[in-house]
Amino acid sequence: MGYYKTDRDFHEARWDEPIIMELGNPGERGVMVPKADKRVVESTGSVEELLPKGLKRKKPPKLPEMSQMQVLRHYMRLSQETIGTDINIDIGLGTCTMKYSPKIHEQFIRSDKLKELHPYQDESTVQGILEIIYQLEQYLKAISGMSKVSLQPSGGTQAIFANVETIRAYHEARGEGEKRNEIITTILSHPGNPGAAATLGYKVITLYPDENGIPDIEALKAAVSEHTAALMITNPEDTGIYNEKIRQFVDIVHEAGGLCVYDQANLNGLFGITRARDAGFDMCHYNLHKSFSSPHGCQGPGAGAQCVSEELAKYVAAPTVEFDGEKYYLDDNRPDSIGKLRKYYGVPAVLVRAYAYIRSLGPDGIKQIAELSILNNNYMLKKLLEIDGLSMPMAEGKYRLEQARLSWKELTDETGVTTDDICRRIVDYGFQDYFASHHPRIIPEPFTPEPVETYSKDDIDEFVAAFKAIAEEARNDPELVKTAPHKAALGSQIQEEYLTEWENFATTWRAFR
Amino acid sequence: MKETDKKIGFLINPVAGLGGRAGMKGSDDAARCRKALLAGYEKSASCRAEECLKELKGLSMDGWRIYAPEGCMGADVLFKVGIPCEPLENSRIGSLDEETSREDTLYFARRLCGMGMDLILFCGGDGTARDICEAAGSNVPVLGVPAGVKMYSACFATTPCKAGEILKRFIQGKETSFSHREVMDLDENSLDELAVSPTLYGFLTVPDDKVRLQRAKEAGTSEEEEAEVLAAEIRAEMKEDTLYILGPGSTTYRVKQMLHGTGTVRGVDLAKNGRILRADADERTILSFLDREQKAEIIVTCIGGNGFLFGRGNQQISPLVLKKVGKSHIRLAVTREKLSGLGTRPMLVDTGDLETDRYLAGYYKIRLNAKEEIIYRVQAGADALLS
Repeated sequence: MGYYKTDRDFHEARWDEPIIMELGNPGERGVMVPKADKRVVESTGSVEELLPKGLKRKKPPKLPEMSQMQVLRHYMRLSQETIGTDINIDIGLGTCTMKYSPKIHEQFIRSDKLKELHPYQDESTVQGILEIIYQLEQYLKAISGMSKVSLQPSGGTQAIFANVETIRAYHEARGEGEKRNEIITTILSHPGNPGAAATLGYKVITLYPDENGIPDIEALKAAVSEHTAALMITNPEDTGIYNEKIRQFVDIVHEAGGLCVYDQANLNGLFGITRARDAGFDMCHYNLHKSFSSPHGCQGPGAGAQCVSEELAKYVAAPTVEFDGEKYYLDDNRPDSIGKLRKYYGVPAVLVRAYAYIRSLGPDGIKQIAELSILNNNYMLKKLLEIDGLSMPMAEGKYRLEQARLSWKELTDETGVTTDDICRRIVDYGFQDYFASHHPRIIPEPFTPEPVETYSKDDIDEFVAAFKAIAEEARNDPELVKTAPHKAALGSQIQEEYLTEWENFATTWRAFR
Repeated sequence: MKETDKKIGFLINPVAGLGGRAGMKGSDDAARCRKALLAGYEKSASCRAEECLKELKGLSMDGWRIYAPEGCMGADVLFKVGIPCEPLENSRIGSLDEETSREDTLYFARRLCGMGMDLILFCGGDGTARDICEAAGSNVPVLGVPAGVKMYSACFATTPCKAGEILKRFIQGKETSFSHREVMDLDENSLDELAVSPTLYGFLTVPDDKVRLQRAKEAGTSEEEEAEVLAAEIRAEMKEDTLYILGPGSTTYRVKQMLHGTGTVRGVDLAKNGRILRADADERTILSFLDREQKAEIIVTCIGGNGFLFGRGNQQISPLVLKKVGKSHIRLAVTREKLSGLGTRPMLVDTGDLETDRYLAGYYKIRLNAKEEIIYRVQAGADALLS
């Protein structure tokens, strides 16, 4: 028992590798393209002549000229300078659900059958993937309690966007499109909700939590009116506090004529235990790369699922995948649909992983995800909160579900070491930096861990031990923490303004120059 | 020294914070301070200053100079940390056996201002901030090293180290924007009673604390930009033939600046049809205007940190004024950033009349702009104390 290490003496590779645009030499090549056969040139003319004049560049693009070995070495070095979920105990990245993604899934999606799939193939030749998508939809209907699912969204926020589009379609169909122009959300719901609502022209009304950590029901009553189009809410929010009044929230909004949309991007706390439809919600969405397991967060593409009630089924994104008893097909004939969200249909790799995940776990396994996530979280919180200087504001004494928003404020007041300092210092211990909070920080010096179901007790103990050590450092040698990271790939701190001020962004090499 | 060198003034109130450990509510009372000293409590302000100045370790002295009074009000600590300073002439006051007073703070702050400092770093508490405010006004950039007992004022860095970081960035030319921050203080003598009522004493010009900027993933608009947008929205919303009672504070000051006429930062100004009719109006003036007007609205902001909406620094907007204008005609001009500072606490009202306070309590819609609103709770100060 307990073989976790606290003395790893970790040090990340540090190559100070130049940007690839700075590498190489004129004339250096990775691949020598053979010259065309003389007879070919004679019959077709040279390449230059074949190209229409208007398409030709005046100057060749300034691409790095490099041999294969140097290119490979460059990227190998960069790969050593990252910390991904597979190499560290990634508990710190709360709200992101950084669980283990079974490696067998990678074999499925790297099979020729999936690799060579092409969106322009005839339906009759892609029955397999359509069946998977159709079946996945049936599973998600059972998990959410909803009646129709679209797996077209490329990610969570696109699914939210589709839900807002559906809100609009619903009210427009009832002749209330103009009048119902307000969407209510909460400050601790994911910013994607107010973001999508604002993008589609809605006025956003935000509710704040009371001392119990949940949005105030009186505030909701003050917010609803004949202008209310919908409530878009997360439960539990980033705080992991379960909103017991959720049914009341839904009823108040329904009474005012609005729809209720449940942001279930991260389902881990409720997976297999409660269902959005059972709480009265009209819509919900899942980030399939989170609770349904896919490598994500700069490590792979995501996918979203838009789930809606019977009444709203006709509005979901088109085309939908349908089954006529014999064959599967894409249904474009949906006149009430909000339309296409993206090119083609969904992100098959993530959908296949989600399908495999559900199939391998079954209903009991799925329920266990939630149970273990909650158990892990409360074990971790018990341990973490033994650290002097770390606290869990709001809803004192109440258990959290799958994650929690903690605060280093006491440690900061005492030592001057902030959450941002600790976030950099944790990298020196061989952990990825953690997630502090969504914006704005209503909890001071925030820290949001989430020990999903796949971490062991030993993993959690090692994670906690590192923070305990840093809290001690903050008291004995605050400078050490404030000047971190010391052992990471990046030897120095990045000036904040390069990350936060768009005037300082360089998104292309030319812009950087 | 070169003409372009930055001049930093440095001033410690050596007795600041002394009262804290001694269980006093502040250190304004000189007699009580002496008692505390005799009882063996140590002066902690210079240690806090030292913590702050250590942040400058390793910084080249090129391009800046630091000026301080001799002895315990500045030069001693600089000497200890190893920062060469330019002592003010004839400034040895407050040696070990001699106590310093607020007159000394005022005297040296004025001298430093007169010498054209680019920034004055002061170490003390709310009382010191008040003295600096009195001596320097809001024209000279200052920065507070927190060393006092209470520190309700918003001109302090969160910790001495943070103050050092900001100073370093200022010297390096990285701290280029400034904002007006509230100077607040409590009457220490009345503190023994239950009622805690900080008063707004003025504004100091403080570097914008970039160190506290959010990390990239959660980056939003800065408070500055947000306030700018908010003020423009409020200006655009203003209706014809309506008397506007504009409360004090930096957010409402932006609105005042957009109107014709001169508005005040600290005072309550009255405006109508795009013009400021009366700057710094008192209660009687407001009431006499209200007698003549059909429609009136109040635009107020809350005080950052403690969240007071009415009854702190805007007592001119009295219970009578509030009743005449009516609850539904109060427009809250609050930025999201300011609300974040309240955490989950409600905004408070303490007009001196409990009935009015309870009348004002409830949920308010705070319009941030045409497309965004927040619903926020306002509570009577008295009820908040009880809960």
